[in-house]
Amino acid sequence: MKSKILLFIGLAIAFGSCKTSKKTVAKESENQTVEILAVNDIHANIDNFPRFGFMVDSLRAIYPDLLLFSAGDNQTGNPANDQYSPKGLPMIELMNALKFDVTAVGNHEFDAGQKGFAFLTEQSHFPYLCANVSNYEASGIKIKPYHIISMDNGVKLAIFSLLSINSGGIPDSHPMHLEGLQFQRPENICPDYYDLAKKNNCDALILLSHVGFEGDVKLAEQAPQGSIDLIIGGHTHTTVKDEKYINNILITQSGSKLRYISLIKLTIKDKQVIGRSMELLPINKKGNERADIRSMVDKYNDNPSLNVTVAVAEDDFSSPDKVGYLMVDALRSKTNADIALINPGGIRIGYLDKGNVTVMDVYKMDPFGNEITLFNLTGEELKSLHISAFKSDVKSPMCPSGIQSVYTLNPDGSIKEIEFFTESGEPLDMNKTYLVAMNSYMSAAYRFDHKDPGKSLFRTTAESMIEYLKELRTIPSYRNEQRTKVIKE
Amino acid sequence: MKVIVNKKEIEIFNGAKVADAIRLYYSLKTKKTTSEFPIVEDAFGNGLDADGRLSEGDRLFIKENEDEK
Repeated sequence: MKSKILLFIGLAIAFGSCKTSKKTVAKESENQTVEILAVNDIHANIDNFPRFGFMVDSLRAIYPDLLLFSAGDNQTGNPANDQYSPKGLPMIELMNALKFDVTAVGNHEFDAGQKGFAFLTEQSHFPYLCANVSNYEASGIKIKPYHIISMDNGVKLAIFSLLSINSGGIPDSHPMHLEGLQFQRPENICPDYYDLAKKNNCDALILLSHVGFEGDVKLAEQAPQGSIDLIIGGHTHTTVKDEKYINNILITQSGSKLRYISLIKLTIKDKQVIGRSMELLPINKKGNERADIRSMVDKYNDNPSLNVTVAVAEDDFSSPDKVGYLMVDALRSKTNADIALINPGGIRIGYLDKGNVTVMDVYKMDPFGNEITLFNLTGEELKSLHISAFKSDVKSPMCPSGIQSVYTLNPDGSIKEIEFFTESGEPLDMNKTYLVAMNSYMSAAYRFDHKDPGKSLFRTTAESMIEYLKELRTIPSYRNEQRTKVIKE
Repeated sequence: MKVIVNKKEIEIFNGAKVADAIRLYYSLKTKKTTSEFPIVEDAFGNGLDADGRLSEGDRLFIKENEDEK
């Protein structure tokens, strides 16, 4: 069937089909069909939009009333979009150009800050749905709990949306972006919408979910039979290849970053969904593209914001550790941590010339997209982290901010002792607990003792460094900085 | 938060992604993380991307080496 769809796409374009929506209202007893093209977690992967746009147009040639849904996290993950001014606008303009019908609010929609998100909702030609957030009106963010779509063929769809809430009671976004907003757990709110379709005389009830696949399974299991017909999901970047029914509810999700799209078909008769199907279609990197979308993407990728000077370095940085000290000073400053650390492998440039430092320079230093993590560590736990890191990093010390570290090695190169000192040279109080910032790679790759499980701040180290440098404006010389010492016995 | 990788419960920082859990799982097994991300599935046999966000109790299965399950 998939090959048939792809063949249809090719034929539709070859014969120059165009969208001609026919307004035909089916009689009550006739079967009516609804086709929905669903994506999720695009994460600003604008480079796949020209191909995606071609596929959307091609499918619209086959299904003139095709609906286009996003299950959230349209934003964050590509500097061309994230560093654009205004932040995130390229994604909105592309989604407008493709005529999205609706999107869920994903946790990363808040990454632009409430003012930024409000602006993006204002610019969007499609509604944002989320039923488990409240108190957002003052921020200007335009969100609806649900949306009703009345189609030309007479079918009415009720769509509501839910957002994942973490153990801290908020979505996975930096807490500073969520101040004043209130969130409720999706499983507590979901039952309020079971009768949404009936109340609004709709033919089907769709949950556009940014809860994650396993969460969607739980929501489906708790739903009464005949309430929810379909869950279009996102958040966990799950690629649901085959039709998955839980409690007679079809659950879909199409991976992430526009590598796949889900084509969903509903068959409706006498105001009941009598048939459902789903196909996962790949968006290949090569193939026909929509020319106008290609022009837009090329323009965004030629983003002058990436070449903007964020600070001026007063001196050359001539070694990776000096660059690393700058990176950890940024990390410590932006997190208010006592100590910040970076692994040698996390510093991707060995020098930085005196003069202008651009946004792109920061992404060259720190290209991985690692997120900031915070841990409360005792002195002994800090030592355990250093020992693990030293072993993993081919016996190179981490770059610190807030402390100095002295490694004494055995003749075989293993660690005999590590001592820590404050910035002023006093021995570090090993009985105290310190707030330590690092990147998410280090948090997972190093095997170290820690009672605090740690937490992500849901923003990248590179983004926080850009912000730090913009505030700093002038980067002082790090020429004489030496924060680690390795003594071989 | 606790997640399960190949039936082994691991504790990882809140807000971790699939790649973080796999990295931690490998570090606990003192196995080097390969540069190529392994095929990872959830408990329902769905594929998971490396940057998929995890929640408490999520179950992951690495498919690259069946005998590790």
